[in-house]
Amino acid sequence: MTAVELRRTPLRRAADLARGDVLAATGLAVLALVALAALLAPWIAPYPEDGGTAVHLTEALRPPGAEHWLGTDQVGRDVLSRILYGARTSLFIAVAVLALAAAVGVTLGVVAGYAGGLVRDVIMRITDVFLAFPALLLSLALAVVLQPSVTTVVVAIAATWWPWYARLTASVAQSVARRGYVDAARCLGVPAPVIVFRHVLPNSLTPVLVQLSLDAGGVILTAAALSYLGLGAQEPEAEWGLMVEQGQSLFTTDWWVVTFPGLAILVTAFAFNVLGEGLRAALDPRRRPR
Amino acid sequence: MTTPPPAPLAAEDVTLGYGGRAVVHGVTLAVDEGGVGLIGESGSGKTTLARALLGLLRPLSGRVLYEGRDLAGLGRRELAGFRGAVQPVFQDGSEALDPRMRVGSSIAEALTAHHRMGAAERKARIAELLTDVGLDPEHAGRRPHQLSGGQRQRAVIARALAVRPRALVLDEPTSALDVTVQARILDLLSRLREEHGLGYLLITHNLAVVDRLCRTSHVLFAGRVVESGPTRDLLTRPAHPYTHALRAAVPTLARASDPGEPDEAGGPGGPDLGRAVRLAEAPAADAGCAFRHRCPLAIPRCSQETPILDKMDGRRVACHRAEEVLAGALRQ
Repeated sequence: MTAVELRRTPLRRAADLARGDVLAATGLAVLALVALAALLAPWIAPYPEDGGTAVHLTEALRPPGAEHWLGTDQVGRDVLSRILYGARTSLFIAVAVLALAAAVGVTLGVVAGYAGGLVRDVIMRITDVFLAFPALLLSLALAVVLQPSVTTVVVAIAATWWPWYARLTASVAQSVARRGYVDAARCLGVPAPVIVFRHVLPNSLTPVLVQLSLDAGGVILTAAALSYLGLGAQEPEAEWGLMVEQGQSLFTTDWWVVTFPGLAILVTAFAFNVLGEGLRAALDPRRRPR
Repeated sequence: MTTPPPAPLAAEDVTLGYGGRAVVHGVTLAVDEGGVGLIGESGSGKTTLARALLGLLRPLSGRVLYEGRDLAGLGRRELAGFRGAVQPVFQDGSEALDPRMRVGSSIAEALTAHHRMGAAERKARIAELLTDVGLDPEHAGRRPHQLSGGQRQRAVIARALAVRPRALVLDEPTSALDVTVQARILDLLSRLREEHGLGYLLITHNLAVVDRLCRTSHVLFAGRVVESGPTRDLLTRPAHPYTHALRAAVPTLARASDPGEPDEAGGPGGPDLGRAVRLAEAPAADAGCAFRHRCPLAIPRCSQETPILDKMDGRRVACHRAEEVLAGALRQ
């Protein structure tokens, strides 16, 4: 091993990874495209005003063609434009839910896993209470209490997802806490909070990151379900789940209204999944390219 | 006559266990600069004892003493002093070093645990410590998985030395290593002890290792000390049948340290080896000697009366038939 190889930047490592894992790289590329679409929607959408309140009843339900690549919906809005705008909503919801759920769940989990004993019992029993309710029912209850909006969707879903991260992190952290380097740090007199965040947390994160990536698709679906029930994104806001709901009755006659938003959900969820698998391999320090 | 200064680290009638169930019973030992060996098969409780001596596990009863004072009664500052004075070296270097941290960072953590230190001084100390354990200062930039097993163990030792400890608790420090690498790590430990005046508590199942580094040894079986005394005496003339079996299980050592009694073990892999390996499976006895199920010399008394550690021939031994063992009852 040479000194040059040791001075590998994260970027170089990512490049190496992409060469080794085509599927994960594809997933990442797809997600990058979705993110780009979300960012640039106002500029790249063929009919930017269709992302919002526009109505062109004369253009309603046009099949895919030269003017509307993916056709138009019941009120004549360009489906492609709405999918691009919908990427904003869906990605925002996914990222916000996962960030919120992970922040709460991972923090509680790592503390529970390291501390053990009474602290662990208390945290885990609270977690169990949240897990005792069916997730969708709890989300629904919360969404009904709050005003229907994207923020409501985020809070309602995060409230039911964090316990999973708490539980996962706690079990990983518990085994990490028994490793020699944690004992070594304790023998050095390193304060417990420092041990938790310097040693236990970073070494417990891999399964959480993988799980987050695998879960992102599920969050998008749950958000769609809430929107479908009228508790989330509201018309005329562009949201993939809402689009699927509005188009499903037209499937036999005007298939494109429901199919393309559905495909957007499918492709995005699948991309998150393969990325999750790739992350699992890449984040294992023993499997880093030498 | 003045009383000698207290040993940096000692166990006094320590009983240890998890969830109220004792796995180590009434062990007393003191770590000094002569080196103390703790010998036992896996499952004998030696690692549990190590954790207690490192202050990682509270005894169910008895006391762990740091410079003569009970660890359980130490205040914050005194506990910090203990943390800086007694350091572990665990079996597997890949477990003992955080896989995500560079070796230099792991050592830096030790350096800054008790003292503030500027970046330049820290870097110099890391280089000095790495050199001291036979590594290159350049190794500070490596991650643990980029080092060989021997190099990792050297890095672990460097981290332990960073706090300038008085004693090391070495838990199977060479068991995960190749034989040739083992020898070099033992050389290193031997040299470091001379240079830094360290007390060693060496925990192992390998008698050859104890022979190199420890003046005194304790043999642990099923959580109890069955024989303790000068390492040489224990190895050349064991008084407990278990010690005898352990020695017989290491034929190379028996010959190297004991040229006067050739091949009594029946050669490498002889019948005694199998016995020594099965020892740890012996059921824990409520009364009587825990070793009696494996003991070739067991008599009815051994299942009725638990033998206690008794002075005999310059050592302590817990066996009803120790005198006969010393007299050569196990020779044939």
